[in-house]
Formats: sequence, structure tokens, C-alpha cells
Amino acid sequence: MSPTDRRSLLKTAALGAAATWIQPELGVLYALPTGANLRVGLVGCGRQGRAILAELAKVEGVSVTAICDTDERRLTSGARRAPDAKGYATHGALLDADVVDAVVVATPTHLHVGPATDSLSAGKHVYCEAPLAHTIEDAQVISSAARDASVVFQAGFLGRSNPVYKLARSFVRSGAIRDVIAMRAQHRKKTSWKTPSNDPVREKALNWKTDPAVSLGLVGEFGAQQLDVLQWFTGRYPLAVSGSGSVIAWPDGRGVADTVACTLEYPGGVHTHYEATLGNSVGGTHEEIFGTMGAVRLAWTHGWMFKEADSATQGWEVYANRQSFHNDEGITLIADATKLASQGKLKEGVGLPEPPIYYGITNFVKSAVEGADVVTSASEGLRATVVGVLAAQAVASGERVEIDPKLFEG
Amino acid sequence: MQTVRLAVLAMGTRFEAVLVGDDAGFLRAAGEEALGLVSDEHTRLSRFERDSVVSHVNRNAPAGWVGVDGEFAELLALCDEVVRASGGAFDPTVTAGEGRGWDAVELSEGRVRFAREGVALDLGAVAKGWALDLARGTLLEAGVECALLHGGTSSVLAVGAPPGEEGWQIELGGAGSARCLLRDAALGVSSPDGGAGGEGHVLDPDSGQAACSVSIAAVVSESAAWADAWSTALVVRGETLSPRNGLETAFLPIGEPLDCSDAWRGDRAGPFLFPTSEPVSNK
Repeated sequence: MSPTDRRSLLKTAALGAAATWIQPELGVLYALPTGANLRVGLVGCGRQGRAILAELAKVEGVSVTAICDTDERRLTSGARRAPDAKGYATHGALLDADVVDAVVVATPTHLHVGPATDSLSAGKHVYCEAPLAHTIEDAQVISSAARDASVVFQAGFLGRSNPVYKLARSFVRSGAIRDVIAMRAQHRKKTSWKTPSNDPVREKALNWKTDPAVSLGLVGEFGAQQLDVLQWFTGRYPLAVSGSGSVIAWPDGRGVADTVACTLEYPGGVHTHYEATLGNSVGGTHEEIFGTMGAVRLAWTHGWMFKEADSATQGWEVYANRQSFHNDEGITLIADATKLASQGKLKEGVGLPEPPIYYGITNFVKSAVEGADVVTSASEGLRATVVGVLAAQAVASGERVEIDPKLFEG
Repeated sequence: MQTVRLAVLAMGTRFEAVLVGDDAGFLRAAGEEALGLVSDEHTRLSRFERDSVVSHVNRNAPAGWVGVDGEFAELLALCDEVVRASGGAFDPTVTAGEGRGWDAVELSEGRVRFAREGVALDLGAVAKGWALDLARGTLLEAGVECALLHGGTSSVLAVGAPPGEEGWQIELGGAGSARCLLRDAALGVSSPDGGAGGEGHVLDPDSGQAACSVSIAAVVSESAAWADAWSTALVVRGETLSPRNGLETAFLPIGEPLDCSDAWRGDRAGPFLFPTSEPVSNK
């Protein structure tokens, strides 16, 4: 065997050693079993709803038979992505038509509860976008309805479906970064968060995110998703949260902060620092978990692990892809590394092959059709929503909010 | 009257938007939504993004039918139309060897497959215009009446005209050269070197060699995607396409200074449309 062959074999074998963490579904296009079909209805044809329609179209055996939006222009926009679907102005009319087996709820957060519970009552499988609701009470209503139903309910907290995140979690859970000492997450994107319309009624409806009466603000809308990742990785839920927020970048009279920061306190003295802004884009959206032997950084389509100099080196790390961040070097977390290494295409594997929402949607379809375990249950969705709602409350009030552990029992 | 300028990096270039109206906050929101759609289309249409729809198709279509959403299917249908009408001068694929790839692309009821290995979609010659068409749709829906959008200066789209003007004045090829007056229309410009002094960024699908039919081709149309696709086809095979399709487009031979004919000065009423086919509207 030549040295090159030996290196190649060692490389493949070393990566194979990491294969226990590899998700076998990655790189393989999910399709329903032969002959199976799932008719899906979408409620809410905004930007997220349209993204979901694009992913549903990829799944063989899934047909989008109905779409719904109270806003006619958005309904038209959704129809362009799902031209075979029938359009409805209300979710009630969609359910009355009885042309779907499953419903995806992608309305504004404060309007989830009606479509979600009505769909469950009608015996439809439900995928509900995250957070579940803008109040703990509404989230509890949804969670309770899901628990009582005999159909599948999946909450749209996408970290739990994400192959890169699953891989990173397996490292963290197996002690690769040893003891967790701190966590951090951020969402930064320069945008006014406004949607234009020359119709005042429509303008108010479209701009729910900057309406303090119904909006959870940045920490509720984005933070709930990101904080759930940290909770899922560590199995810890916060005891208290304090925060603050300001309108700095967009002083247009809005009542929802465009720049926020909060600190969440977890058992064992661990804290999570969360910050979000609509005034700057540097660093984008990511989460970090710091341990005594390393750290992971997760950016939804990408992930990295950073090792302390005194941490043990595993064989496969020698051949791993790396990326520099100033003085730090991150090992790129590649979810289908074994397969790609065997094809000599490891570098092509950096980043998810499909958008994160694809994995959430296909997990849901698999549960609805094949009875696979639900990736994010209503109870998990409720817990994550509780954290988001109370963090939003802390930011709005500027006060420390203690969290009753009973709220996580729903 | 207020003017708002916004920009976003997408599709390997810079997209800019200039919006004119009474309410700066409204204009900013409209511009952000329009450029947000451009960013979305970047993530859907780039073959260099691993999780794009194009990459999804390129990975899976050689093995069988791949489902795509209606909007993506619409874009492929537009490409198919221009490929056929241009006799293959426009071919939005890359191939492992020389020659055309589009003949291996099969479309059927929201699905696509490749009839052979070694073919991949490359929508770079039409994606910027497609994104601008979608952006225009959201601007008009919001009620914006005066705006100019461009992607990397080669794809331009005008909504209305600046106050007191008949249209947006667009210079082709630098100061002192030809001008195009654009109003409620799109302009697509292609040149063999991409306008950056490089060589061969447009390939002749038949020969696989760098196209050199004309030094620059500009097309005005209602649809920016349409204009983009045809300007590429014209760079590849300009002189032969023009008489066959009756295109109202001027061709500038290599080495000669830019000059503009009445046909593409653009100050005549109405956009230039191709008589062979209706332009695709994204309204």
C-alpha cells in the first residue's frame, strides 16, 4: 500500500470512527413510502409560509392541496409557489373543505392558536411555527389540545431537526467540551422590521412584529428558537431572566425595542447572554456553548467546534476541515462527513445540503405518515415558548423575572 | 420629496435600490422588502450555495424526477422558452464536457430531471433579472410609484420615472456613451468580458468557447429576467438571431466605439418587446 493510499484509508477510517454521530438521512432525499400520500394545507402565506411551500414541493408523495391567508395579495403570492392548491380566505373554510390531512400553521405568532387548535379538533396533523403563541396561556391551550389529540403535533423549533445541530449536540452530550460554563446567542440583522402597505388597515396587520400589543419582540420571535437550542443541548431550563431593550436604530415611534439584551440564569450558576438588534448585521444569527475543554458555535446552516489546547484530540480531527476566526480555529461540523469522505468530497460538505426548515418539515411528514417519533413535541414547544414570552416580558419591563418551574410541566 | 437608497450583496454582486416618494419610512420598508426578495432568490438560485433549490436539483435530478415549487418551475419554463426561441444561444446549464446541456433538462408538471449525468443548472444569466422582477412585484403591490433597481449594473429595472423626468437615464458603457431612457421597463446588458475587462465569462453553448459575437448587447423588455436571458443569447449569437427574430436591438461590433441607434436609445415610446413571444410578467 502506498503512503497516499494508507493516508486515504486512515482518513476514511478515522472519519468512520465519528460515524456514530452521523445522521444517516442526510444527503438522501426524503420521500414517502411507495403509494403513500399526504395532503397538506398551509395557513399563512407570508415569507416563512412561502419558504415552507418550497420545501414541501421537494418531498415526493406530499401534495399541497390548500393554502390560506386572510390577505388576498399574500394568498396570491402563495399560489404562485403552490399552483395546484386551492386558496381560502380563512382557516375555517380550509378545514370545512376537508381536502387536507395535515396543516402547517405559519401565521403571525399571535394568530397561531385558532388555526392550530381548530385543525387538531378536525383531526388534522399540525405543524405549528415557533414560538407557539405570544402568551403563555395561548401556548398552554395549544399544548393541551395537542396532548389530547390522536394526531401528530410538531412545534417548529428547528434546532432539534437540524442535522448539524444534532451532530454538535452529540459532541456536547458526550463530553467533548466537558463542563458547560456559559452560553451565548445573538441575532443581528439590519432591517427596519417593517412591511410596507398604502392601506392603513393592512399596514397595521402586516406590522404585527412592531406592535407591542401582540409582539414578543426580538427575544421572543428569534430568541425563543435560539434559547431552545441551548436548552435542548444542556437539558437545563432557566430559573430567571432579566433584560432590557431600547429603540435606537429605528426611532419611528414604535413600541417594540429594536435592540435588546438579556441574561438567563440556569441551575448550576450557568448564564446565557442573549442580544439582538435590528441595527447591525455583523455576526448574524448564532449560538455558542462554552465548556472547560472547548466550545461549539452554531449558525443554523453551519457549525464549528473549538478545542482548548489541553483537550484530548480524537483521530478524525486530524483530517477535519477547519476555519479560522481571528486567533481561534474551528473544526467544521459536517453532518454527512463519512459519506463525503468516502467520495473524496469532504470540503463540499461544509454547510447543510438543504435549508433548516426542510428538516423540520420532513420530520413532521415522517411522523404523520410513518409514525416516526415527533422531533419537537407540544410540551417541548410550550417550554421553549414560556422562555421566549418571559424573556420578552423582562426586556419590556427592564425587570428580573423569576420563572416558576411548574410552567415547564405543561 | 424623499429619496431612499438601499443595497444588499447577493448573487456575487451588489444590488441597489433607489426609491422616491413622500414618506421615507414607507420607502425604506418597501425597499427592504424588495431587496429581501432578492436575498431570498440568491439563496434559492445560486449554484454555489449548497442548500439552494438549484443545488438541490443539480444533486438529485440526474437520478430521477425532482419536485420544485411553482415559482421555480415558472423560471425554468421561461428559460426553456428563451432556449428554444434563441436556437440554444441561451443555455442556462453547465456541462462536464463541451456543448449544450439544456437538451438534457426535462420539465413536467412541477418536476425536473436530467436525462444524463454531467449536466447542472446554472441560472446566473437570468437570476438577477428574475429577482428584480419579483422585487418590482412587491414594490408595485405596496404602492411605490418611483424606483430604480439594479443588480451589478447589468440588470436594471425602472418603476415610473423620477419627478419631472420622462424616465430614468441609464448610461451604457460609461459616460458619453449610449443612453437608455427607462420607464416601467427593464434593461439587460451583457458583454463577452462581463464589462470588467476579463475574458470569456459568456460561453457559446455549442463550441464551449468564449462568445464574441458582439461587444455588448442590451435588451429592453417589460421583464428583467427576459431581458437578461436575451442579452446573453445576443452576445453569443447576435447577428444571426436579430434578423430571424426581428429583434429591435442594436449590436455593436467588437472594437468599434459605442454608438446608439434610435432603436435602443430608449427614448421612443414603450419598451422593446420581442414579437416572437410575450414577455413573462411577474406582476
